[in-house]
Amino acid sequence: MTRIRYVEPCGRARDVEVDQGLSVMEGAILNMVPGIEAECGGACVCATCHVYVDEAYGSTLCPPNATEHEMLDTVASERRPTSRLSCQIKVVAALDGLTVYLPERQT
Amino acid sequence: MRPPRTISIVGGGHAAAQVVASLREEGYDGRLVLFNAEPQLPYHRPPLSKDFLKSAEPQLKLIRSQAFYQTAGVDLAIGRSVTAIDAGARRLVLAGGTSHSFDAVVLCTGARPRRPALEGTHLRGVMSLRNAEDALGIRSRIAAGSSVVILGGGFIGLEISAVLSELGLSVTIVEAADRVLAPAVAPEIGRFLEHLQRSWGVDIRLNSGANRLLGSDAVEAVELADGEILPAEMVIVAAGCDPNVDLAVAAGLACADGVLVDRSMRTSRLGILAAGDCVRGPRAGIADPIRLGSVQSAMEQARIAARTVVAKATPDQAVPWFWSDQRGTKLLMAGLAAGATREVVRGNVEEGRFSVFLFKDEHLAAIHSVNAASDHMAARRALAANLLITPDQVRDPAFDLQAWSQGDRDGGRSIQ
Ligand SMILES: Cc1cc2nc3c(=O)[nH]c(=O)nc-3n(C[C@H](O)[C@H](O)[C@H](O)COP(=O)(O)OP(=O)(O)OC[C@H]3O[C@@H](n4cnc5c(N)ncnc54)[C@H](O)[C@@H]3O)c2cc1C
Ligand code: FES
Repeated sequence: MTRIRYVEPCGRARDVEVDQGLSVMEGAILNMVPGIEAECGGACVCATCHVYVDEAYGSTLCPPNATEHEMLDTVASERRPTSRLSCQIKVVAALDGLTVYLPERQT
Repeated sequence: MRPPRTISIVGGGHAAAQVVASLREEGYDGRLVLFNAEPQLPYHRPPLSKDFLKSAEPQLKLIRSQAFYQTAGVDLAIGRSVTAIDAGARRLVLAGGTSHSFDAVVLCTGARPRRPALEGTHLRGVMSLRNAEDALGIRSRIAAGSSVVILGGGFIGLEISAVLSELGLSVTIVEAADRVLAPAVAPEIGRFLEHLQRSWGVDIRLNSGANRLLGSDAVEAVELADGEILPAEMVIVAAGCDPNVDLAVAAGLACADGVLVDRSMRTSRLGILAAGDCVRGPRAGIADPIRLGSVQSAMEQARIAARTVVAKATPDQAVPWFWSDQRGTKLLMAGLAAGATREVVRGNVEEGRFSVFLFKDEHLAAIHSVNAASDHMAARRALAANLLITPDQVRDPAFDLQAWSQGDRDGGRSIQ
């Protein structure tokens, strides 16, 4: 289990234990963290699972692939350097303690 | 109108899961009961023809967790099929004869694979794919080197073919039309995917059809219309699907290849709504009501149905969109291509990264993209805002689609 912290736009934080191998998106859906729509279920085609990741983890995360990059151009809230699609972030031990910030809106 | 105290949902797919979620988000605090014929919580169907068939440990991806339904206070009747609706008495009848009263009901019964009238479809090894059980059945018959014939070159047929050929099966697709994915997808893209599939060793028979399926107990071969015999250990019927309207028809609801709904998802009977693959409804700018079969429209219709139940206004319809994935080649479609009069290609077909813009007269009606997510998303925004674009601009690589979709009419060209 790896602990992921989800912070809503209002500042409310939720710590969730996520099984390794699941995605950060799945961790949110399975634990009822609001603010992630994930319409496509993780196929990297809907851009409704947008999060901002904690900069401290920048080097631990695999960088976005080309498709994710393209989809990130289309997110409903502002795209920032820390923007990621949470369905593309696999939860591994090294990510223990990762904080992700949820954007204002996904659609 | 008095707010309903008990809302029943019939079905357990994307639409059903979204109806309960949206009802709670809209503030409905009465009783919610979800009747689902399948023995699981609602799960994502698209992976069934993609990763689920090939992953070592296939797992269904739930749309919402068990905890969600608990916290949302949804009574789950999982594995319970609704056999009749007594619209007058506002009761659902379940298999076994028990009945449940409701104040409002939302039908989310989805669709089922079409079974052509073909001799031999009862044979063992003749499969179709709609649910987890079907996918497990196909998985259990996967053996490298064995032969499979797929009847139908639509999305599901091509996706299954992509996976099974990758797993070493010898795959033949039999398609009646002169190209795959007709008429849904732009011909240019159909041809591209046909070549791609052929490069994987898939045998594609166009302008072809099955006469009958041969075998005594298990299927052994497909006899084509021209008499040719294709040996097959498995036959997958992927010839489209039909909406599940039996309940609605028996309850006297107006149906026409789909439960007929208005733009607020109301059927012809007060207190009965419907959403998802089972419905046929109106679409702005299109004369006749249409049936869409996609995750996006199921979710959107579910949200609208929930708003209607709690007497909130119906929002405008979003631009419909759909995706398909074949070994990582991503097909994305937005808008409605029916009736398009002109196709314009942007990008590089040889490199497998391009979009086809479909025009209806002067207006962009739809866009179909291969591995070009940013074209797709830009065009989706532009279709929603009814932006104008000319075929010349589409073809011009220097025309910036992103800028255009954000309201720059000249796509960044005017500053040059
Ligand atoms: C293999 C496959 C791949 C797909 N891939 C894509 C894709 O890549 N992209 C995309 O956008 N769409 C895709 N789709 C389509 C998408 O899955 C559907 O549009 C979507 O599932 C529709 O949701 P729904 O809730 O309307 O119906 P369904 O998901 O069909 O759910 C209907 C549910 O109702 C239940 N039910 C029916 N009758 C009764 C009854 N009388 N009592 C109780 N329960 C009942 C059924 O058992 C079922 O669980 C795919 C579909 C399949 C089958
Ligand atoms: S869930 Fe759709 S892109 Fe992440």
